[in-house]
Amino acid sequence: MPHPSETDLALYAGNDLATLDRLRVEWHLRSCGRCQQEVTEFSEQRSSMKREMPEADVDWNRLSAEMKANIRLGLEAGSCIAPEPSRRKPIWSASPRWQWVAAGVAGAVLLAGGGFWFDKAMMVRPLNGPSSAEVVLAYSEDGIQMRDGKNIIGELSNLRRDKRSDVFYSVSTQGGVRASYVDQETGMVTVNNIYYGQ
Amino acid sequence: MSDAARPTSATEEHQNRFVEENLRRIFRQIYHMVGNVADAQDLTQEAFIKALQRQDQLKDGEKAAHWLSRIATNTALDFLRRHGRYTFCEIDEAPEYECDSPEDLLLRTEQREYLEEGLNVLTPRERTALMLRDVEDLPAEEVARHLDCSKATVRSHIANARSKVKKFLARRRS
Repeated sequence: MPHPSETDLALYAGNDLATLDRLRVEWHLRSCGRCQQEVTEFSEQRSSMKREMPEADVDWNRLSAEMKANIRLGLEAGSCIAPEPSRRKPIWSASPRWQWVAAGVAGAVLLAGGGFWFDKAMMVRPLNGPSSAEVVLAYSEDGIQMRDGKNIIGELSNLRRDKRSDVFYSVSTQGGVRASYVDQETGMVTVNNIYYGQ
Repeated sequence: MSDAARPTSATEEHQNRFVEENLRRIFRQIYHMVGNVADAQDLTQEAFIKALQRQDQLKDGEKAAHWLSRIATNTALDFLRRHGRYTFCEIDEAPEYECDSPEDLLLRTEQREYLEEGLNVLTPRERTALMLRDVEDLPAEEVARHLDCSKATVRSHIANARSKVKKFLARRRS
């Protein structure tokens, strides 16, 4: 009769074999001294490991008090930087499917912005830019906005994912605002433009 | 901290009770995986902070305890993957039995040293499976849940670990 594998003997010693395999090994062990010896060694090793594995020799009261204080501190520090519960989740933290949708929308906006910029850049326009004194081009952390009085007539949300990256804003002589930034992860440069022309 | 983010006193009390009930068990489990008090302390704290930040998972006491053990296992496993070696820094300070003769003490110290070296030949997952099964006495199904793998895979880890340690000890003693 073939000997059980070493794997089976190791598992048998710890009572980790499935019923049928255990019965098969047991049957074999009745007549095989060599495998019996193997099983005994595995069993002794298990007991020895449990016996010899040292317990931490520490002043538990002091250590547990220290750990509890550190856990409390960690939780408080964590809640300081946690987002407000009422705040909407940013789209880039949504599911991968929505991230793809957001990326598609962002691409479309960029394309439209680029086309718009190309169209306007090719136009011959007066250097003094917008003629209406009430039109305001403003930029903020969230993007670029064009307002005519109280009405928003153009808006380009900032597409950057990482608020820590620096965005460089510039106002062109043609009356446009340009925002560019480098994605820290990919090294890709994104340029957002918004123009106002006659 | 904003008022919205600050835990209420009831929540805080619940958290404290959860820590109190599980701290020693989790510390012991991690200590047996990483082998020294300093790392075990850091990793225990990290595991509790991770668990308590997901309060919604802590409603059912028994499930929460299992869930915490899994977080502890994964936290220690990540640490072992990053740092590799298993070191019982406190091995010489481990409590001795009063009845030990000098010869017994010497033998015991030698056995612990062999054991420590033997555990170093295992992969982090084998070591974790062996510790959880043979030292912590968790059933194989529970070890599989901790390691997020099938029972068959865990059996394979346990068998490999027992065989590797046995071979190592046999070589070392010969």
